Amino acid sequence: MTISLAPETVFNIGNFPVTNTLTNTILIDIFVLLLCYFISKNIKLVPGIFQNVIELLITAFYDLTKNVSEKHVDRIFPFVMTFFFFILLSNWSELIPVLTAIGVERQGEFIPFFRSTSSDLNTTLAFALVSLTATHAMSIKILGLRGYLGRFFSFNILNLYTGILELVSEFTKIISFSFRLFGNIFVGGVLLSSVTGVMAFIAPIPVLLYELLVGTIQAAIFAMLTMAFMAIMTTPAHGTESHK
Amino acid sequence: MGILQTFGINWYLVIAQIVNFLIILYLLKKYAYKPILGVLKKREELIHKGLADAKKGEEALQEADEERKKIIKQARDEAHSIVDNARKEASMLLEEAQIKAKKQTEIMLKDGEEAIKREAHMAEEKIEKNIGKIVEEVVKKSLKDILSADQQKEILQNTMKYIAKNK
Repeated sequence: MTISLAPETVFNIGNFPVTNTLTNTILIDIFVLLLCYFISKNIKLVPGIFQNVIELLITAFYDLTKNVSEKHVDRIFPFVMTFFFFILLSNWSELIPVLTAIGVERQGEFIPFFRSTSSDLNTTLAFALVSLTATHAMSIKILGLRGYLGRFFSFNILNLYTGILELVSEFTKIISFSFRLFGNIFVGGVLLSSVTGVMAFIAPIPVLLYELLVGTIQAAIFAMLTMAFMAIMTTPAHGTESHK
Repeated sequence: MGILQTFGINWYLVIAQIVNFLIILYLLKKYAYKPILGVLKKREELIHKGLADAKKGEEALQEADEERKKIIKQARDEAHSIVDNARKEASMLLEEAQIKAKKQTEIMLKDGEEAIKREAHMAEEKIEKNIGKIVEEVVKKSLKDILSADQQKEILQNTMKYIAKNK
């Protein structure tokens, strides 16, 4: 068994490599599309069991976002909810037993067709970039360029120092965001395949349950951090507040 | 660059994942979050409306009940006053009838008295008219065998004179 940090390429379209994490993403996309279609066709004022579950999930996140930032809830909520939902599906997709067993043997190495999207740094990096870009764009739109820059740059030496530190931390967030999710899910996949390699029956069940929990927690962490950063960045900083 | 290669970083893949996520975000926002939140809002409004309507209904019911009580009280008062008026009117009518009857009785009594007087007067006149004949008959029948015709005539004349004198 070989462990590869990089996703395996299933096939190429010109220069573009279609990796097994990308195929997994397409699988999740199909599921999300079907869900959107099902919701938009079957939504009723008196909900059924399925609608109740969806409503429960959406209401929980909406209320939470509202508690954190009531003023900008409608802007922040779609990002938070989509991050949670997409990452959760991605994390859980590696736990579907048959899915990861489908693949091809290439040069004596087994290449699975599907691998959890979150166990690819390309994806987690993309998520981190979307999260932080959206946060900063939202901040500029709500606070204005002056208010946004005032958070990082000031004529006061102490404020300037903390502002620069904050600016640096914004870049480190990309790394922390992407590596945290990637690390947790990648390790989960490795652990699961190791245990399955040793004993295919019964033994993986506790690991599967543990990974189910880890997948949920990691999705929640990513969504919550995005929510917190967006709420912080859309609130005027102490220094800029006095100017308004 | 070595680290990026180890982790398999490919900027095409990063961009593909960003685009993919943004599409999913748009689709979920349009076809899942908006309709669900819309339905939730609509349901909340309906519940609020239902509660407000129920409150209004309760108030209307209370008002109707108060109105009913008011109307019943008014009707009862009116009935009482009608009965009182009827009683008063009845007693007045009775009193009037009594007075009328009394008056009529008095008139009838007076008329009776007058009729009796008139009858008595007429009887007296009749007796007066026929008294000569009666006396003559009485004298003739009672003294027929005792006295002579002349004596009878004298007594009769004297009696007639006496009667005419004391009339």
